[in-house]
Amino acid sequence: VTRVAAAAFVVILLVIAPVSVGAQANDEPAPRQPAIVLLAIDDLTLPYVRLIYEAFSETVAKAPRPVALYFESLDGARFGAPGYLESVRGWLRQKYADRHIDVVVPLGQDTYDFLAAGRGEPWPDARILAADMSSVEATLPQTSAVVLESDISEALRVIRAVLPDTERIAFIWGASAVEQARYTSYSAQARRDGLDTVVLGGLTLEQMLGRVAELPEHTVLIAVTPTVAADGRLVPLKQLVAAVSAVASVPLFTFGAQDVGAGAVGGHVRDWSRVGHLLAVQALERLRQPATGTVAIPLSDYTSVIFDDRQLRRWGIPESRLPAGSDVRFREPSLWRDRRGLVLAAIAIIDTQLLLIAGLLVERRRRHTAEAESRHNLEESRRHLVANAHLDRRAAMGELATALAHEINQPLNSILQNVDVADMLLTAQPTYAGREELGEILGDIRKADLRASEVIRRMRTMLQRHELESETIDLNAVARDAMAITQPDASARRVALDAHLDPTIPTVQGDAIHLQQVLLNLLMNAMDAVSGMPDHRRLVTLRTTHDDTEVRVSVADRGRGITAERIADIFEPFVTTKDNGAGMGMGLAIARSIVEAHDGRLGAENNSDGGATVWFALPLSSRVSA
Amino acid sequence: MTPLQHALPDRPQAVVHLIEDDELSRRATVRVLTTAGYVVSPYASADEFLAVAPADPGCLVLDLQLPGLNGLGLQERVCASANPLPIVFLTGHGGIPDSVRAMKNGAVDFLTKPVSARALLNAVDLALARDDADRATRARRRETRMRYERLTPREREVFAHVIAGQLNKQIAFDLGTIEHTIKVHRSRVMQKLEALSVADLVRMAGDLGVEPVGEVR
Repeated sequence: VTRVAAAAFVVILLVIAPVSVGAQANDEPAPRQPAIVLLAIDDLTLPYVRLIYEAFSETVAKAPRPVALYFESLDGARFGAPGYLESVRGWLRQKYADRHIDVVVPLGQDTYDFLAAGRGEPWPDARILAADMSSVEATLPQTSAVVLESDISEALRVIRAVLPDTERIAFIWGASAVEQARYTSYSAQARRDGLDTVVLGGLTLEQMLGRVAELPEHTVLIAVTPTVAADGRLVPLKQLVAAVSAVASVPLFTFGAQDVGAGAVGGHVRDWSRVGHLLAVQALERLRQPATGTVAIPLSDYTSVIFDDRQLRRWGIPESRLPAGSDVRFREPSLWRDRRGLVLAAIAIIDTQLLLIAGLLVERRRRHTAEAESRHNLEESRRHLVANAHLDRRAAMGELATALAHEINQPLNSILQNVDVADMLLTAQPTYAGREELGEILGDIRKADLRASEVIRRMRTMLQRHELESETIDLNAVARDAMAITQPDASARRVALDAHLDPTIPTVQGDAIHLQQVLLNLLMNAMDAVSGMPDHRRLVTLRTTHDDTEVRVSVADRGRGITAERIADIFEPFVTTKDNGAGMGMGLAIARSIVEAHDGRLGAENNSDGGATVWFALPLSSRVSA
Repeated sequence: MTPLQHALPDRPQAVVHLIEDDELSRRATVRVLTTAGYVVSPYASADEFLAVAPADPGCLVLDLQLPGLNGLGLQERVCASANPLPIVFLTGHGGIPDSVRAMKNGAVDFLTKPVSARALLNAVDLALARDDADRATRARRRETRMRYERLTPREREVFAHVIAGQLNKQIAFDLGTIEHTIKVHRSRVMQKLEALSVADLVRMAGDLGVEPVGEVR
């Protein structure tokens, strides 16, 4: 299919080609390329002219069809001899004798006036697009205009906003007639705004620098234009700005965005590139169709508010005075300014931490005081307990190890015996081919099993529990100690602890420390059980009672009770009634092993009025079994 | 490992009662015992075993840590029962106090898990052998007791004096009668108790718990 299509295409080309050639031969000469002249009174070496020209040519280059662009400068600021401009006109006429120019764009009223004076010569047939600020006085019929909204008033307003004490403006422009004519409207506007004005013109650069260094307070310099100094030198604005700014006693402003960074403070400035682009758009439009109207360019289309941060700081201008939306450039890196959010966050975090630390210190101090008091109250029993604290911990570890050993040795036992049975069965099959290898496998399983059990055994030996001691003990004393230890925790958790101790209970034989550990565990569990309950049920009651055979210590809570399925195995290891895995289920298992070592019993039951009672009982003849 | 070769016990009616709450361990132990040729009766708790209360020969393999009545508690009950079967204890963690107490109360062995088949079977053999012996002793005692019951009060009196080693005339003197009468009683006692010698009588007195009466002068 592709090949057929390609062949068809070639055929069509062959048929059409001679016709096309014929048509071209019969036509008029190809249409001539349209041409635009950008005409400035200042030289292309001046930044504002160059910026306009560059942007203008860039925009023209993007036009749908090729447009020829020429630039001409009258250099009228430096060269003003009589007859000079007329000779330039003659020279230009000669220069453009064989070129047709469609549109001329004179920059500034003075440039337009040059054309008007020659009735459009050297390009009498060209349409004219005049550009200036505020207004264009058009005298030629083929004139249309682009008028930039005046920025002087706005520029002065911004200056007075950032420097409210300003009383005087010192303008800098040259002594040439062109400059004088062009900028007197600026100082007139300043005076209308109630400011004194000074014009620093007609000076050599050295004189100028001397003057700006001695300007009185509340004065602001505005460098308007490249200056033709008294000695005839043209001082480009950028160079002037740098030199003046370096020595000036007061802040320096300009109207050009390109000067921000060279030494000007900034302010309300013109973007000449933007002007060049806007003019090019209008000029291309004039190529398409003649017009005579005026296009107004609003301030916002070609100006912006820019400041040089270094100058702001030099003159002590706070950023708070800058108009909203100001573009502050040439910032030196500042942690505070660039990362204000981060710095604020860091400060906030540090503050919070300081507060926390302070809070913790206060809390610690408070707790220490409280602890000191409670220590004082507990007196001897407490001291005794503190001295034995490490024994308690070791005992708990020993009990934990015991419970672990039990839980792990069960499956190890099952594995070992199954292996042995398999071995026995294998032995009964003397003809089985895989017998030897299977025997090895079983041997390896057996070795691994015994190794695991050896690990458990060593762990137990290491954590050998504190041997139970048998002494005559009063369980009421044990209960009172446990209550005293638990009380601060209970208060903090808003749990009421209540004790009903039977003063007639007989003494028993046992280990007070271990039994206290059991009781503490029961009390803690009870407090956990009521922690989520309403206030009237946040109650834990400790009781001691006795009958002919045993002394019983019980802890009753008013929590939710124990579920039926849990109540049977609640003393088994790893069984917990607590939500979200708060406990590992060892507490009661340890308690059980301690109580059983005393020949005692443990029990748990639900109360008729809600909650559960967990108790342990020791026989009156209780002796630690050994 | 050397292959386990275990002879079938002489009395197939002997039952190994296994009381073990951990199901996996229980099943494994049942396998070991049945593979070795024993008759096994497994229970998950002491209460289950007590509900059955077997009278047959056998032994107990008993886990120390049981829910409800624990191993030591069950041991007391079994020892006090009419059929005090020997007990092999198993424990997940060999607590020394527990093992001492268990052995004092007559346990055959006290094995710490994991228990190898060999160790278990050795202990069970020992337990069954002891049950045999115990049973024989108990049978002999029952028999002696039955014979003793046949004695008249006077014959029992003479029996107590004979085992003290007294001569007939000493007994006659102590009992206020004549030597010949005692001689007749003594021969009746020997006959009824099926004793061949005074030594037999002394052994039987031990079985019967009869104290000797009278002094050898």
